Amino acid sequence: MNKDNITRLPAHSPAGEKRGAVSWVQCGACSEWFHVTEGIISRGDVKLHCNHCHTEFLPPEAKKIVLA
Amino acid sequence: MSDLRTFLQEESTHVWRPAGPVGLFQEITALQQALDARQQYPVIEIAEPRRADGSVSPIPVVCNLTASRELTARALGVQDHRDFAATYAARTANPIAPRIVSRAEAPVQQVVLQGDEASLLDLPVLTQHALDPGPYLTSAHATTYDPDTGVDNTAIQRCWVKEPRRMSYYPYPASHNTRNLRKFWGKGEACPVVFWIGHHPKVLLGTQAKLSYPESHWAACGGLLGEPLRLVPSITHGDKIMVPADAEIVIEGWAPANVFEADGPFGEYTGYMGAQVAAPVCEVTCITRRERAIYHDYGSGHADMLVPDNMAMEGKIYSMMKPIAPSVRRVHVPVSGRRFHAYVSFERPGIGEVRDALMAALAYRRTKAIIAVDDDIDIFSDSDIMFALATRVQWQRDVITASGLQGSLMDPSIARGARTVEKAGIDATLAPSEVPGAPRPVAPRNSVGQEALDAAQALLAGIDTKGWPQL
Repeated sequence: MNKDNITRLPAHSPAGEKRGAVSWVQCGACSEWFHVTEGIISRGDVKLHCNHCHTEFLPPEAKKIVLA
Repeated sequence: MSDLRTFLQEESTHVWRPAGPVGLFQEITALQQALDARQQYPVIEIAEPRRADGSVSPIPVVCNLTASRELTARALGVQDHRDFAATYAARTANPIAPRIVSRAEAPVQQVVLQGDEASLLDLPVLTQHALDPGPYLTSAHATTYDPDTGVDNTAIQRCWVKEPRRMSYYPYPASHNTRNLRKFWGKGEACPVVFWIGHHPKVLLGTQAKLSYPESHWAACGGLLGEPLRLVPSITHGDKIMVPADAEIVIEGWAPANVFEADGPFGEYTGYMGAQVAAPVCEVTCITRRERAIYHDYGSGHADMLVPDNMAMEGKIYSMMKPIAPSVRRVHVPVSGRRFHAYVSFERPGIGEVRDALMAALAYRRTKAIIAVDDDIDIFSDSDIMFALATRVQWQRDVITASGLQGSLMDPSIARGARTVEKAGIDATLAPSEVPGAPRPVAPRNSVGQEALDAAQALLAGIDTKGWPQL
């Protein structure tokens, strides 16, 4: 996995603080964002599908990935 | 015999048939959204579904089939939808075994399309929401079987049509269909699967019965039908996977071992877009259908899909609570709470009875918050529930919370990285009487007398109140 394009959000929340659980991918082709499960990223072998431009690409080819 | 057509006939005065073509790309779902906002829930039949290329599909689309509680309850012969839970619990507890018929007796196999003749693209599949990546089957009932016992399982699964003979589909990780899939894949084998579409709401609700594993839904469908469900062997899998003979459309195929593709984002029951997941695929071998098939679509996240699922949940919750708390009267899983909330009314519960019942129902995977009220509260009114919460609850005393329980991971409020959820049971009943024959030691509600109320209604009758200020 290309670690350079991944930002991993902190795993734990201080008590009482809300932190979201959704992971986002920025498409390398159109730069739009779409949300994914952490599982599809960690597998590494499933092509992601941009629901905006319909480009398919593996996680290392994403512009950015923000993992919750 | 009951099927989709007999239901449309039974409720013919509640079917709306818009004139002219309506687009499969969001337009049909937009009609549902607009009607939901107006709180109007007719069955919708689109005779001329328009594809993206402008052509009209010869297969009509029916949606909003079960958007109305009233119609859905009446489909089961329940005249008052508020009494649905008890009836559903009783009938699914008295299953009737299915009956196997020949192919000649099975309308769903009037047309058999195999190999390259079978094309998912010939079906009028909707793209419902703006961020959906493509067209999805939303009323496809996926049937698989446990290879160890041969017992089948059926559940609705979203299916993204990608190619004429290929679609991804998403069995929830904790589901019985996933267990079956994993068993086949564990042996290095493709998982046989069929998806059937279109039937009478009695059968659709039977497939929603919450059963143990492995346990077939066919007998539960029979319990709701009051007669055996007619089944026919599938073309591809023979008697290993039966399909309802009186369904409209069947898609047969295999899920190749350990093959995953991206699926979603998809507009889900939560009212949010479900995230993209790695999902199995189905390689289609055969499509069978009636000669003049009707395509059934559930408006995902709309009353259309929430109502039948929630009503089946009401039956399950009733059957979990009633043996523990005989004072349980009615259960409502409101559309406003998606599938997360349940309201339960009690008639003069004994000390501790409400909390016992809350503990029992919190164990049900789908519940997140259960609110218990007295039977003077209308559990079909969110406003009444808010009144009970405002005036009958002290939070520390009356709220039971539990964490680390199974629940929906699609809940957008879930904690980061969590695989379980937090739940709450709220006792919003009034304190009981402690002296036999004496009133409860709480203040009575204020109200006007019935005679005065009748007089007020008579005075208002016939007056045009249109345009009067709202709350």
